[in-house]
Amino acid sequence: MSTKDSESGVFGLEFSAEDRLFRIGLGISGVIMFLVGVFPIYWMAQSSFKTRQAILNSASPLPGPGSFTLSNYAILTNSDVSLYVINTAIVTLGTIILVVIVSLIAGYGLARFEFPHKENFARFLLFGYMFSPIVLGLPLYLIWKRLGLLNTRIGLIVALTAISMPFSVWLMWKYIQTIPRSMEESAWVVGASRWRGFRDVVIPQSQPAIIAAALFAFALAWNDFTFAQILLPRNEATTFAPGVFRLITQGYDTSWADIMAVSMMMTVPPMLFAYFLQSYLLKGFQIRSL
Amino acid sequence: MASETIDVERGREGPLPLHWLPVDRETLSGAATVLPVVVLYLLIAILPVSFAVYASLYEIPLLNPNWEFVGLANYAEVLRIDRFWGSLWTGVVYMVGSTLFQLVVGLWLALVLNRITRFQKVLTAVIFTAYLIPTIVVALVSLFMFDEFVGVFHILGSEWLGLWAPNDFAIGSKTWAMPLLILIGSWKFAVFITIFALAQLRAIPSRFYEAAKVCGANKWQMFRDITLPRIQGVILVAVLLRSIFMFNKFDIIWIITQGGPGFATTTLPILAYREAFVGGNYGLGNAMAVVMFVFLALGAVAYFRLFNPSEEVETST
Amino acid sequence: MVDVNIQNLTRVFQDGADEIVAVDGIDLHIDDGEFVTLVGPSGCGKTTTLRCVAGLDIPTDGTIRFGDRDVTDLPVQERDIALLFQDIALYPHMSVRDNIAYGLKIAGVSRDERYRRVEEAAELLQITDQLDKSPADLSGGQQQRVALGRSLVRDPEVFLFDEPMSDLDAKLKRELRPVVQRITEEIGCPTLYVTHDQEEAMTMSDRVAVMNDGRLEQVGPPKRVYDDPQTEFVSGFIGQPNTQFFDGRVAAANGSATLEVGSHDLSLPTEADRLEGYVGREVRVGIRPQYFEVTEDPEEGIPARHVLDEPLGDETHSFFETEFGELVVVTGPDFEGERREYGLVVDAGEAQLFDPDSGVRIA
Repeated sequence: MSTKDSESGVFGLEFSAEDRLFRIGLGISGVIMFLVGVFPIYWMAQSSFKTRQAILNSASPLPGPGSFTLSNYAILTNSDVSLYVINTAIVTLGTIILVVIVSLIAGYGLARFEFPHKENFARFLLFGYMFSPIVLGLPLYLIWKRLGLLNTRIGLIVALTAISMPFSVWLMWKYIQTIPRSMEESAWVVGASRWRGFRDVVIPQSQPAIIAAALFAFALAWNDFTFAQILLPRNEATTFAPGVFRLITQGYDTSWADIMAVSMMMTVPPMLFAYFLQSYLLKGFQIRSL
Repeated sequence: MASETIDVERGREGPLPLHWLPVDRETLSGAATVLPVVVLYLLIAILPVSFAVYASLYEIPLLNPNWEFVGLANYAEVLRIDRFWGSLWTGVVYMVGSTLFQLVVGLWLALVLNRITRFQKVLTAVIFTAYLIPTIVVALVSLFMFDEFVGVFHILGSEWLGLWAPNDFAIGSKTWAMPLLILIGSWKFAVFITIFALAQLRAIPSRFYEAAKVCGANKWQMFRDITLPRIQGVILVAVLLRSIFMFNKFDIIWIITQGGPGFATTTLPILAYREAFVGGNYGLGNAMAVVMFVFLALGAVAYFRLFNPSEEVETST
Repeated sequence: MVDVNIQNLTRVFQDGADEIVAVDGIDLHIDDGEFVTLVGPSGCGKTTTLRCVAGLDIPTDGTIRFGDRDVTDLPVQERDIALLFQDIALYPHMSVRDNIAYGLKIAGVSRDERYRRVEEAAELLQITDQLDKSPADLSGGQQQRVALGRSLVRDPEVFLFDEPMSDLDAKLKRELRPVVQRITEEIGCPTLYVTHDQEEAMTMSDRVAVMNDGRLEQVGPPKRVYDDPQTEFVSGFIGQPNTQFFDGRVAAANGSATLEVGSHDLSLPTEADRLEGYVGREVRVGIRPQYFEVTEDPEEGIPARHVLDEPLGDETHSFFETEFGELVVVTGPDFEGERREYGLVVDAGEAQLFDPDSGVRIA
């Protein structure tokens, strides 16, 4: 880098001025980002505390004294809606567990064993993302029906786990590669079987990757609409996304206030994870190569 | 390094008499560990796609269990109908518009998050929340905010900015449906790019920038010569994935506009869904879906040829 | 307690269509309680050999016996060995105490008994205050002590070391060496120690096995390997600074042999008939830097121009430019070269002669 053509900051400013400009720009950007990011959530939250009437009356920034209410959250006691939420929670939990187990084992195998076409297999998996859910929709419906998995939570869990596979297996594989083999070998030397070594040494060491994979599985399962829509066609068993969608489109009497309340409920867990577990999410995305 | 030899277990006798197999024990162990993944993948991807291709060769009326073999007639019809090309175009518009917008915004977010010192954790939490929020919630809140009677953005748009008439449902208008769809989706999906980019940015050692400063580089030059080359690889990967996901996007479009008004926001997935599940013509719908897939596959191959994002991306351990 | 018997150990790697012979049929015997170091440059096959003895790799041919047990195909878990790794490999998620106790836990030893043995080992290694800490909080030297403790508590049959000090600084190495020796003596089992550092080999071993390119060049007590190298490689590898090598020609005159090195003749103390096959031929000559003497008169010895000095306190390494290239000479602690011409006188009695093709020692 020649020192001749860069003796000044951008726009020909002095370096100290450039610094200041940069920091101001940074600050403004931060504020904009914050506002844009927070606004919809804030709006959703404050609307959920307004009475139905208050919403119809005006779009005020906060619930006024007469319009504040907690009654919207009563919709959660509505048997349909609470069922949807519970189902979502169960499916999400199940998916997380299954994803972690399957990807841990596969990731370990890919990291520690040599077998032909290993690289191609991994790339082939990633290729799977190219299939639109629509392509898979009907066939999946028929296959699941044949397997008796239709309208079951387990069926959805299996489907969602399969969708998470490419990413989480990749993650585990790359992470376990960074655990030195000598750590396992030292366990073998003292008499631990490969399985014991895996349990006592590899798994504790893989904690960051496990959390990242779990987070990713959570985002996928908690968020899912399409697969639940296709694989849980019956009302009673469905999860939140298709359930609420049906509620609204079928013209039942649900007000915006109620909808905002339930939406708020569904948003709280992701918000908590986003605050407390952000470093794990970043760790998981430090991919090296395709 | 001392302990870097491959762990070969050739020659060991385990409990099973495996020497009659054409593969060695290590391959077997490796294959066993990925077996669950393979089974799942088979169920979720291989079988359905094969089935879809198979079904696309038949005419399948909704309630009639008899499939009539029509060969490539479905494909011929697919390519013939107006709506197909229109939807393809709409889909491309949606894909390109979304991806570009998400790229710019996502990168900008990552760069800011990387440098900001105060409130970094809160800001990062807000940004990540946008990505983790279920799509249905994003869709519902958008519908609420643009609702022509009570929506805050609707009011802002009509009274403050004069973008649309007070009685017009913005999302239901031909001019605004697509742009708003892109904007709403990008609010959530841009963060995908941010996460990739941020993970890479954090991995760039600060001594690279320090060395550049010693040489007298300014901020733009440091960005151009140090930052960009390092994140290039991940960005290309992220853009590829984003393009694929946006082209295949079904849920957010269906929830918000159902492909309307008219066909203004009908992309190929929407069209295929309509044909198969609403129009009842499974064969045709499947053919459409297969064409979609082929289109994507070709696009991905071209992309790889052009950009080769599979080059090793540097991370410092 | 047992002895270790390695016979015809061979390890061949398949790299696509190529075959790489990492270990080429070596034989090595280690007595009960003996400390043998396997030393050689990177890639010579010493680590591969060790891993075969440990059970982390399987030989292509040959046998390994511990006493009368044939362990060649036995999995590592059943060999009852201890192995110290170069990167230490302590478990970061366990305390030091649990790290040391892990092997006993696998063996099913009761908790009280486990911890008792840990305390014993910790005392021997002087790490009792570190028992409740996490490995990440320890220094490199302390970590190796913990690794030693981990091996100590199991009372192994054979003790193996895989370049355990490569990642430590010089001072730590010197501190740890006597600890290693004490521990292995305490346990009293046969020890195979692998390193590329010839100083470690010389200071710690009962016998040194010099390895090069998959083969053993020489095996013997450190002093013998130093004073009496059997091949050119061993002479050049053992000893600091390295043996200085020249090309020379053997001439004979009346039963006494002379060596023509460049423009000099050295009279050799060896009888001419020992050098029979080599009279009139080229040989390789090796002389240790300690056996040159520096004189003021360039005519007296090999003319040399002084380049620089490396004063070490108890001796000085001086660099000279000569007709044979650059030579290193060990001079006295007070020597200060003046960047001018000197003469280097060779003590011909200390000259080592090697066959120019095979490298085998002639005289």
